[in-house]
Amino acid sequence: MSVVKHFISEAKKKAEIDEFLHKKLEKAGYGGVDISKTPLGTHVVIYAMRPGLVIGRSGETIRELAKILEEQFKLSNPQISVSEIEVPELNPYIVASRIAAALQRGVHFRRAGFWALNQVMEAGALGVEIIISGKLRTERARYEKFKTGYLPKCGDPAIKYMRKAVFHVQLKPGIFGIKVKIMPPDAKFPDKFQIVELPETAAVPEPSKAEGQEDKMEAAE
Amino acid sequence: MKPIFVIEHLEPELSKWLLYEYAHASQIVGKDNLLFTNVKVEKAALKLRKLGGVEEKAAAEIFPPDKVIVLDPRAEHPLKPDDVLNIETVIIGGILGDHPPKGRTFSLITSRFSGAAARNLGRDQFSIDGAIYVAKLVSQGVPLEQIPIKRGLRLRLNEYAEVYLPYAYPLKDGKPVISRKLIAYLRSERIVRDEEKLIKF
Repeated sequence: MSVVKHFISEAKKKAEIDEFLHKKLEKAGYGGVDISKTPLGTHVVIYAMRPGLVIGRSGETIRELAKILEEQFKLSNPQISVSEIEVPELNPYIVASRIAAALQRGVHFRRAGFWALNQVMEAGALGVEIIISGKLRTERARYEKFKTGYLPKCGDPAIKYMRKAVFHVQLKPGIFGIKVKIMPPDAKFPDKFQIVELPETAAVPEPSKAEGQEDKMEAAE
Repeated sequence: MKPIFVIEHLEPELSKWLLYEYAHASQIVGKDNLLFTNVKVEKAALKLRKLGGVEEKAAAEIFPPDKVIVLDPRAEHPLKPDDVLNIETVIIGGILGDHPPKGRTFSLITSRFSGAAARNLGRDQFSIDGAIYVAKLVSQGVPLEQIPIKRGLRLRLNEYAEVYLPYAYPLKDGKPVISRKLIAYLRSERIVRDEEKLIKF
């Protein structure tokens, strides 16, 4: 297998796992997965709002998940750990699923979009973009985009820090897609820097006038 | 010969969006040059009579196939000024499209109208009024390639939000041909209330 094909298949596998966990752990407030290879196997970190539901009674659910990941998705020796999402408003999966839930309750997507935008910014995000697209029975397909704050789309910070999620929701009059992009508060940008003043103790004292004159006299002698 | 423009009404309901596009199409070609076919509901017919002629039958039941051109994005050849010389009718689908398009003009008009010529307006999907505007210019002798178009239209709602329409719009004096009423409707609270009713029921 070529290098390109290897990375494509790895990314595909990760997307499949993400989709599977999304469906499986919907009630647990699934908020994404990190998969990394270790010398002993594969380390899988599942982010969730309610970790207890991911772990299950005496670890029953987590063992079942490990079995599925190993057999169905061919992950070698998966070691699953669960991490609680501290600020759900900064997790795009949670935000997208909340918008989807609002749409299912009959809230209009324009209202849901503005509401989610405020929630994310109040939680301290540097920037957020929400795109809700779809078609209702009696209208043309269209996108509505809600955006605020600082959210670079390309470059190293975008790759490194931007959190993204896509969610689909089926309503009676049509299907809707929800895309959420969040720039978390801890993101660091190369073009944004602070000038830090040196502490006073480190300042070099200026030579006094008398000392300066003595130096000159010595030089003349 | 000046062709008649026919809009085959194919949506189950006559929504505000559709009505704004129809009204703008009527403004572009004139009430006397526009005919709505396949209008089965009397309530819709009443509204449409203010914009042009109205027929309950489908276009395929009214016009001879050798005298019509169906504007269909799936057609093989683009519309040329020569195509419109010897025909009486240009048929446009009264459809509010999907993105990407589902090809409803083909399945609901072209495939049922055997013998009728079908032409496209390029690879893009136009709005109903936009397609009528382009077809009118071509029927006046302007080649399709010379009609400027804008792909995708962004309408700002406020500082934080915008609506994006993923369709092609012909440009007239550098501005996209789109109903002013539709733009106002898309930016207003009315569309939110109308859609909420649709989502809830």
